[in-house]
Amino acid sequence: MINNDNDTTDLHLGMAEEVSRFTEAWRIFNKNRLALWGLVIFTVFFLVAVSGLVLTVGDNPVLDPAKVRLSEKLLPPVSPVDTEMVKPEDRPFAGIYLLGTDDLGRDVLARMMQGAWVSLTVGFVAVGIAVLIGIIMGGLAGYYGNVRINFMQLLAMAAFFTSMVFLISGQKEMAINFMTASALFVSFSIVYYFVSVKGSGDPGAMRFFFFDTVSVDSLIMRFVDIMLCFPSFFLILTVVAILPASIYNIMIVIGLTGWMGTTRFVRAEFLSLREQDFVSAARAMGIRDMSIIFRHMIPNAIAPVLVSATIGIAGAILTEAGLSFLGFGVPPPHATWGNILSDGKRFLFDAPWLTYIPGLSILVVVLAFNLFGEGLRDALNPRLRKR
Amino acid sequence: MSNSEAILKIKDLKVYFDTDAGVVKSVDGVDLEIKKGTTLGLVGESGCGKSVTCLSIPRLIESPPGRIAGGEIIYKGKNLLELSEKDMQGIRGNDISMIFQEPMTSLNPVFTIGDQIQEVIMLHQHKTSAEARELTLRILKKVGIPSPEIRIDDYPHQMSGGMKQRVIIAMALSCSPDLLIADEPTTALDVTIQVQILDLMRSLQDELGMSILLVTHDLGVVASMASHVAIMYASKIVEYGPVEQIFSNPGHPYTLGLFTSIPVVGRGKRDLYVIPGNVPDPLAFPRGCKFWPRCVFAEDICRSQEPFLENIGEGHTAACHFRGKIDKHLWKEKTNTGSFLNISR
Amino acid sequence: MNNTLLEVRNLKKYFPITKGIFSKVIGHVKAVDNISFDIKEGETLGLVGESGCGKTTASRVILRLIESTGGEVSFNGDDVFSLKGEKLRQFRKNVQIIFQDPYSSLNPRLTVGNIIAEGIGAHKIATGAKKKEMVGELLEKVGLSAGYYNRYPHEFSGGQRQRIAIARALSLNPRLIICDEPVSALDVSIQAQILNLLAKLKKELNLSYLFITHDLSVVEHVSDRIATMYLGEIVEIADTEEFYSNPLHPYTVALFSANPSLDLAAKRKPIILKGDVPSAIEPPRGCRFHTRCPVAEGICRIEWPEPKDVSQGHMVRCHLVDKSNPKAPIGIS
Repeated sequence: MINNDNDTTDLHLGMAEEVSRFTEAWRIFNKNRLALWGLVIFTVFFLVAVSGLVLTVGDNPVLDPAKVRLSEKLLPPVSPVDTEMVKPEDRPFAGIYLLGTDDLGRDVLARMMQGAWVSLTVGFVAVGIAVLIGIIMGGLAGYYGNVRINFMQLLAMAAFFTSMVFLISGQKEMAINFMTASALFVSFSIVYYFVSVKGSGDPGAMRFFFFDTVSVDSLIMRFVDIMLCFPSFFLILTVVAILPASIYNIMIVIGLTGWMGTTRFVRAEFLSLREQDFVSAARAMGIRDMSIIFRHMIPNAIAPVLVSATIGIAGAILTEAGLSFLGFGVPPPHATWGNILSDGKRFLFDAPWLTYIPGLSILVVVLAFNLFGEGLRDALNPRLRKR
Repeated sequence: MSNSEAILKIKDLKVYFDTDAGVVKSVDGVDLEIKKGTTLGLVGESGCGKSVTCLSIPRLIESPPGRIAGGEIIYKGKNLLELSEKDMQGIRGNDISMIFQEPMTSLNPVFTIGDQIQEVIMLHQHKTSAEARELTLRILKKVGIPSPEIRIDDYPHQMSGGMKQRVIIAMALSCSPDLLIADEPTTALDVTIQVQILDLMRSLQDELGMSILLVTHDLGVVASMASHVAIMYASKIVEYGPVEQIFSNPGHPYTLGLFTSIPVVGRGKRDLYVIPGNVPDPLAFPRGCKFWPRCVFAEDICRSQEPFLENIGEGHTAACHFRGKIDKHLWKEKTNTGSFLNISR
Repeated sequence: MNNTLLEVRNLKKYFPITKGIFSKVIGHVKAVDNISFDIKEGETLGLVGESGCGKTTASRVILRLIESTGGEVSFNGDDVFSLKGEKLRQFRKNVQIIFQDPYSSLNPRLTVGNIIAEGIGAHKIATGAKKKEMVGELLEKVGLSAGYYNRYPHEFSGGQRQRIAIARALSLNPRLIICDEPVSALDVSIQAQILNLLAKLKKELNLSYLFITHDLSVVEHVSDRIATMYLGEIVEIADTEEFYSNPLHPYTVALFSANPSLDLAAKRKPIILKGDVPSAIEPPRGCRFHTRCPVAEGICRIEWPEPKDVSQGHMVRCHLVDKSNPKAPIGIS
């Protein structure tokens, strides 16, 4: 009967100040000078890329990256346009080649800005695809890892993937055959389930097709191991050589070869989150699996994914530039930083800016993304924070 | 053990931590004394500064962010805070040893336990490795590890929690220190293992005559181990004295609150006294006595003036404006706690 | 106080130890091995034991958070392990849990309000303003201010977080709450607050508790009956008064003796059990406690002791306890 009325005002004592997680993360991030510079450059790059998109499209763009002016070729940066030789509608913005011209007299500034948009979209879309696949695969492995796959499901999956391979390599007929097989296996499983698991039919010898093989976790993680065995750049080169050259194919291929890291992160996070009491509490309250995954697990697992995604964008930009440099990337006349660099290398001594400008841009942007990503990791790392 | 010479005297120790949010005064004017061959129990709740006090004795406070902002730590007549880092190295592990709470993380998983104990011996005592191994075997036997000849080559993960804590004690005792600082040595252990370890520490103390600073939150452990008790609250010692005095006649309202809020075997199903509120934030201690917002006796003077440790009995001090006037009868009246300490089972 | 709410019969949980990519089973950890007990409506059963004795596993199996290996649990007459669909949802509403660690039991990304409201929403008990109102009431019921709705868990101290966890458990209006060491991680002065709160709620809402702990002094304070667990088995179960006045199993007696007492006068020699708890992979033959029992005899090493009912509601599993004259085979001091 003593002091049993727990006065709420008393409990107020020692209550920490209200500090949101975001404020605290920003405070740590703010102290990291390099990361802050990374963020600034990232913002500038983003603005340049978006304005590049706006200013270089249309029939009569402000900055025309494709306009050939043979009389004005290989001009150094900050050269004024020769008003006698060039028609008024062909002149660059403000009458100055701010970053010079290339061997066909095209405005490098316009080409760089167009290329920035390519780099940005390739980086974001490719990493977006990779992160999406990574979260799904890692989430499956982490949350449903113990579930065993039976033989029939394995067959269905194998058939499905084979059909995908045929589809990509253009053999439509084979693809359709395997897809049908896969659908057959699946429907077989469903019939089996209703007859012998839900109902009371005796499956007899059929049981053989449904014995448990590996767990979901082993299947996914061994697949990750296999994917990591390929030197991914050469894998991409091979695939790009088969596929028709287009910016979308590049994005998809880079995305499809870059999800393994995210998968491992997400799986590890899920495995440790599964053991957390708040997840058990949610399960004990009868909260549905999907709700647990989306409310309780993904928000807590997303921080390291965000970090690896930021650094992944830098990697994707670099890969795209490398592909374009080798001539496998976005087809000309569309400009990317990689093919500007590639074109410029022939004039390394006559027109060094054609090499330095895209080269330095790639360096700075990639560095900025990496620094930003690392700053983000420090800011979001819960171990640096007091509980 | 009859001589009352103090082996360690801490005077007005201040340890501050500089954080982004401000200066955290983890230890703010602590006075302590440990007599030779005795055990001092340092009791307090988490965050009261008892662990920081411990770490500052062998000067193990990580700096920055921590710093010892003032005071003296006098060990055998020498002020440890004035020694050079090199002299301090010689004292750490040799004269003063420490045992930490977590037996799982206090041992390096990649070395055998024998290697880890021998390393300490060879570092401080200039012994050959054969001699050190011999000594290690003897110590392991002393701390009650069965068949030490075999277990000496075990890795930490091959041992149970209780065994690991024995190994840690063996390591701490390997250079026969004069002062052992034990920071919650049994908190992570099960009760039946806890009695084993406490019993071991008691018998080793009888045998080796060392002094122990035992940090704990468990008054029961103190009762079975210590001869003197210091109660710490919000970075300060609020009461200090011989264990019999403190247990039979506590003089600080916080101590009284502690005694009446813990469930005791045999007291049956009865509402426990609740010390209202929470431990104050070290960045925003209340003015005056730090305990006043939770104290049933608080009056105006408590809110404005900070009390100091003053005598209320022989060797018994308390930091309370009403020291000597508060006793368990008054407490009973004020809090309606029924019987104060019904200990007998 | 008379209807049996929860009935556990011969509950077993063996965790397989596996090897290789096809996960061949090479052995079992017998975490819970044949335990039986009842909890009546409005009653608290204390489950005492050291770490690794299976008390936590047993609670998770009862909650159906992990699957059982064998045995039966019935709640209010329904077989818990065969519940499906709507009936399972009803069971989930009726049985809730409070965890030991108040730091990992609350999702750091959700506000306190959302944490408590989650179950209310999922079970469609209330929505919108009504839901918010219910959360406010729950917060006040556990001694917090309703204004904490939009705060995040990291802004609270351990004791306050435990109150939030209790409010969450109460949100579905359960009849049984499993308390898994709810005060072990808290400071002494905060422990008392939570224990008193649990006692108050029990009285107000006629709750039943399964109170899991390692601390004999805490369990006496809250329980009507107490069971001791050792290595996956319940070795003794009795009414609290009987349990404290006449403990019979040597392990229970040793636990009592090991419990640090505040009594200075009796600096008694505690019973010190030798060695550690054996592995649950291959538990000792015969009585599982015989390897550490100070009074073990020949029969203890060979024969598994059957449960003996020595008096009304007092069961003990020990060869050395005489049924007609129940006395502990080992003295306390």
